[in-house]
Amino acid sequence: MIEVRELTHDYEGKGNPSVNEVGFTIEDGTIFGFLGPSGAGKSTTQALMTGLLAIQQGSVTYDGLPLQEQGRRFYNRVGLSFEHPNVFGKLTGLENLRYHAGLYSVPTEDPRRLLEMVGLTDAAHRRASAYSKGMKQRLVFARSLINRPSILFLDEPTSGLDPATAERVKEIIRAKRAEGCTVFLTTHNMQTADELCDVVAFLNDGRIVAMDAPRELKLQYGERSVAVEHRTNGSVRKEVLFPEKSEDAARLKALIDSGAVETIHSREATLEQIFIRLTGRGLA
Amino acid sequence: MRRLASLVRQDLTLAWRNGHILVVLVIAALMIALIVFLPQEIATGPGEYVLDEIPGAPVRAAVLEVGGDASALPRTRAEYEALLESNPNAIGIEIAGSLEDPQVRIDAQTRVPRQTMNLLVASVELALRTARGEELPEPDVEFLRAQARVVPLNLAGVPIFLAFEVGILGFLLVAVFVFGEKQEATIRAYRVSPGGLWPYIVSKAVVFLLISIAYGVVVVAAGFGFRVDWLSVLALVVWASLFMTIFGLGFAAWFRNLSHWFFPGLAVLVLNLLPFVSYVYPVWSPGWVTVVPSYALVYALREALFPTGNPQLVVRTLITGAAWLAAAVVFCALSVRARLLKGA
Repeated sequence: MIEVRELTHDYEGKGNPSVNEVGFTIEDGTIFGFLGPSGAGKSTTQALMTGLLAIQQGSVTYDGLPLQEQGRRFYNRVGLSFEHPNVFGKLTGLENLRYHAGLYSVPTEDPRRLLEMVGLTDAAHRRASAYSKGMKQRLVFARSLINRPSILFLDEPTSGLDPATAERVKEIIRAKRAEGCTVFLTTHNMQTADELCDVVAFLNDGRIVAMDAPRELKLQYGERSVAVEHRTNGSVRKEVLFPEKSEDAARLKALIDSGAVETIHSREATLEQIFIRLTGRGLA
Repeated sequence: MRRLASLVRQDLTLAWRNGHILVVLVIAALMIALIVFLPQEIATGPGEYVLDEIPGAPVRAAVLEVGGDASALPRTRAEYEALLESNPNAIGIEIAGSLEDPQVRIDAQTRVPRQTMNLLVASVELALRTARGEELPEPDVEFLRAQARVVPLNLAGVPIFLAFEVGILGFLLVAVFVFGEKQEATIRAYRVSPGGLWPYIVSKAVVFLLISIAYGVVVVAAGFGFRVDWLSVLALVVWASLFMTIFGLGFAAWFRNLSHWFFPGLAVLVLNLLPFVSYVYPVWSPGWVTVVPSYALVYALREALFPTGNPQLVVRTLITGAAWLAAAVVFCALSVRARLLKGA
């Protein structure tokens, strides 16, 4: 279990923290989505949780032991995929993975198998400098799996990927969860988070503004609606009605009773709509 | 060991693909070409011409009798003046009058140090006394150690090639490595691996050590064959490489990129090269230059390559060097931890 308590980080030390008293708990074998727009403090939080930044205030514990006391062997069970691909351009994809595998003192994955999983088998012997951004992203993702991690930090893992490849990456993430891996997913892509995460936290200006399972957030903050298509005077019309409002409920009943309804769909709020409602800003 | 092996293999691959090894190969080829194609000595002709105008030219005869160079002893004034004109750096010595009452004139065409002038006067005095047939007492000469052999011109630069090239290669190329890793942000990936501080430092040191040893062996073998004190030579090359690589790694850690590093790095390289000036012009050896580690190194390498019976110089340099190396390791470890691998 990962526990983050009152984590605060101020880069300049001028009382304007990038991360402000952030706290949450991540159960083993779950996918925790950390959502927010650029500059919200997502990557800073991840950097603090992985030791890339020194903790100024607050605590991060893994199975009860503070990060600072974990020692370097802690990284044997952690995988980290960066938002900006950071690979050796002069090494091939395969060499990048082989080199990284050599750093661990635990059994590692077969680099060729990982390349196959992310669709880079054909590019295995090409230098990474010749890869497209999406290919580098996949290589970094594959690298994060090389040590068979039990904790996986993923920063925008599907960014820049085509839909088919993004779906493949999501499948791998789900498979890791099924194996018991805990995943910390940082993204501003609400659809990805909705599809993958067991719990999501909305981060805005360094603070968590809401945190729950996506379904619970939708139920708590979303406004349920119904989209109705009906034929009136020979033409098809579409209306969105909110049954919780008495006038819309009456209108819906009248349409159904008239027999003019051709299609009817219930609609729920998206995570993005909820985020906008809670923060008053978008995710771009 | 597996971790270190992986790092060394990767760093060697990068050194090859970044062209670092090619640069070393080209420099080694240039050094070998100098050794092979430079003559062992350059004949510049006599430095002094003596015109003996004493009737019968007794001084000329005496000098020839003891094996003097006839080309430095013109027979006529016209010949003497022509020789001086053709060799503007030469010194002319005119002897006239008689053996009993000689008049000697020294024509220096350029500024001649006082010590050289004194030696010339003493030599002329000796030649005149020899010509007069005086019995000259043999001075007692005691050699404190075996006389050193004359260093051939083509090999005279080898201690410099070794001392300074190895240092420059380690200091400069390790900086290029570090800035490459910073630019690609691969150092961030390393920081969240179990790799740690020491394998990172040791792998860089091992890679440049291997390159330096290969360079040193090739250059020394080209000049000396295999009949050389390899133990001393290699010990000094190993020390030079380790010291400059490890110091260079710690130094580079404090800069953002190669542009930021350039002028401070150049200043260190120039400081490291100053003992080269002292080596070529020994009269310029201010105390502060002798403290620069490469100063002792270049003289120790000369002793290892051209022994003068002073092996303590090599040992002393290595002992002092071990202290410098220890300081460099501490500096490097603190710098790399604080600037490259900082975090939790």
